[in-house]
Amino acid sequence: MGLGSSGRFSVDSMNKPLPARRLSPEEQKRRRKRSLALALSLGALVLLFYVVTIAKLGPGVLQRPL
Amino acid sequence: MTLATNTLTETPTETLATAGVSQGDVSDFFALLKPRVMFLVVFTALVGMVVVHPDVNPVVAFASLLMIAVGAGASGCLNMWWDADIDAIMTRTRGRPIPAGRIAPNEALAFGMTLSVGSVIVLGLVSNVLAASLLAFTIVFYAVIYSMWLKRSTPQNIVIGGAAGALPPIVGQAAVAGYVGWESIILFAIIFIWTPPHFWALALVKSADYARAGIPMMPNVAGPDSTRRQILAYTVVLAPLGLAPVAFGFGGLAYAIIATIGGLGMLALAFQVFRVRKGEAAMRVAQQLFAFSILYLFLLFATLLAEHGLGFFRPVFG
Repeated sequence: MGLGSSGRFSVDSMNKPLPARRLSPEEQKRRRKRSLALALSLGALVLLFYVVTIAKLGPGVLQRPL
Repeated sequence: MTLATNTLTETPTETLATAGVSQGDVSDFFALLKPRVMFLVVFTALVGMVVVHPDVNPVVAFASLLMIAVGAGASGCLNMWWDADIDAIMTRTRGRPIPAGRIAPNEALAFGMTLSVGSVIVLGLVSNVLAASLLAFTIVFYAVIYSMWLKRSTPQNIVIGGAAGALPPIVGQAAVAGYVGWESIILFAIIFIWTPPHFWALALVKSADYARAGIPMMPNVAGPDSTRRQILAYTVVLAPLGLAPVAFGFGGLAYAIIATIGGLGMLALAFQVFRVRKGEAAMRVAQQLFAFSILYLFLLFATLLAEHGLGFFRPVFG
């Protein structure tokens, strides 16, 4: 697993890709929930930026010189 | 799974087996933010905002408060990342996500750093540079000055480190008013002086836990009797200080009554802690002081919030 005989990492072993491992159903479920939470957080952030922009600039946000 | 440590060379094999696959649930990541501390931060920052009756858009105020909350959570996350080794030893904290092995230390570090930087930048964009700088200072003070330096090196750890927990009203006021006024400085002082009797009451009860983890809390270094004297001394300062908002005109009649009764309650319990020094009774009064101190601070700030946020303010003088 990337450990040398001394129990420490070597640079070469760190560069090797980790062996693929199939996720258990429980891990898949947790990953789905994490992905969903991340998506919701990003969506909320977009909404927050939009609302704050309107609040700070008001209708003037649409009135800008071309 | 055993404790996943901060050093690469000591990473347990079981963690390596799952490297690249997070084991944490959403609730684990939320727990990293110390939600209860976050609530206290939001609450006190909100009071710092409303006492100055700012002429600011509610959306901007809400967004600022949200970023202060995220910043506070981020500093809590960085604290848990750094303290994972001692959290694993103490009964009160061994169930936290990192010592319990549900979240890897590097995940917590990345999570905490991302939220720290993000909250400071967004607060700066939403409100002003002063508020963002104060939030950054608060995060650094808590995560670096308190967690990495003071906590394991001096019994004055929570006295000096208490400044981090006391700063939110100042950040809140700066976010909506653009300046730091007397109101938030007084609120800072109240939380700052409240912190030692609050935490030392807990430390008296959990002194064995702290000793096992090697944290130099006051009861373990100066002894329980000295701690009891200091608790009483800080409370003697705290009780009149709690009335300072009345003297400065932003605490109304309701606040004056609550602060007087609460202050007397704190004094009575601190005196009990000072007097009762042996057996179960000593532990009981320390626990009572710890619990009452939370109620006391909550009531002070809730009353200010009701007076200024809900229009219940009735001046004491004139």
